[in-house]
Amino acid sequence: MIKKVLFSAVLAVACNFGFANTNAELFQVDEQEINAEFAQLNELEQFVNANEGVTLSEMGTDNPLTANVVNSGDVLGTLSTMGEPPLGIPSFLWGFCFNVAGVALVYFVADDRDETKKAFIGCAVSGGLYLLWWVFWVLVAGNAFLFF
Amino acid sequence: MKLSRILSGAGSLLIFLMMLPNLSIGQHRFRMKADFSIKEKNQNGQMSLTLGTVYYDRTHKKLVYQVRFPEKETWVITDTIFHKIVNGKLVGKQFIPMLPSSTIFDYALSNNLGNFGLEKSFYKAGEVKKDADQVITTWIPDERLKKAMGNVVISRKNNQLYGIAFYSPKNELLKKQLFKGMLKSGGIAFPEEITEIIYPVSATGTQSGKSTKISTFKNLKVNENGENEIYNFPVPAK
Repeated sequence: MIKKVLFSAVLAVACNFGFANTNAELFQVDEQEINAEFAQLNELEQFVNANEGVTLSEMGTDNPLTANVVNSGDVLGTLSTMGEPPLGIPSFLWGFCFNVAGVALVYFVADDRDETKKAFIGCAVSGGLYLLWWVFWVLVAGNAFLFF
Repeated sequence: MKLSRILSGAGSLLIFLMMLPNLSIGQHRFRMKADFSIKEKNQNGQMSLTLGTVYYDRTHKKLVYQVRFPEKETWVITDTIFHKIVNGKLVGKQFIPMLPSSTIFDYALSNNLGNFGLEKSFYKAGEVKKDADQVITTWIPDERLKKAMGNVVISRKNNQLYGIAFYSPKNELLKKQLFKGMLKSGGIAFPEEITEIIYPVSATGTQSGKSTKISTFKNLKVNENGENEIYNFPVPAK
């Protein structure tokens, strides 16, 4: 009996530790480490703000402030903080992949006529492709099969 | 006579109180602009800095970035198309899986930032927990999307968005964002600083290293008159 109680207590404590790791602690970061990592970029930002109009190409590669600084051109990466791509799945794809259910979801959730129209076009394209596939396999391939 | 006056006054007060929510909803916030700074450091040690001003107009459904560093250029996002304009000429155009209406700018203007717009998405609120001073909600994707999308965990502190974490369908932490400080203008609150930590997944499916990004905003202006030519930036044909 005592063993069972002890086992339950240990299990409960272990579960609590598990929750702590995936909850409030999830949103903790080492600010000192981040500040140290971004010291050069902070300095570069101050320099750019103090010298209005200056660009990276004008600063040159020999400037210590621009060491390891690149113009990546990865716009999607740069802007990822502003919006989450999975939530911004184009309405066309909702209609294309989920057909009528996708159109209904866009209609009720987005509440936007243009977006619903795009979902409907996606649904129509998907339906058209399915019809072509059916015509090919059932009417063309199926009839060809009869000749054998 | 006195009773009828009291009843009439009480009736007027009741009608006024009933109209209050409508009056507040009636404050239509349709555009905003802010100066931004995006600092990134990836797992290979490469860094980048992007500075400029962002404009968003809900009517035109356009997100316009007037970038002044690293180079002077204009980025326009309409629907899911990204346009890069340099010296008035369109120099690049690409698909971007981002709708202007699914960005923090739209969420802030429509007062949906508290739950990162998830209330009006294909996610449903699941478990809600209180841990220390945070209220943590796990948002679960629609059943049909569970193979493609993972859970999203949102933390709120003092009734404001504090953090958000995105998971893969295999429950791997893909990235988390922390929101610090709130700019207030025109009746909306907008994060002053967003720290994002990304845990990249390699082609083999393993996670290693991390990239960190800090986005800061200042000089927030809501429903500002003028600058229509920027809010509704015309994308040149070529």
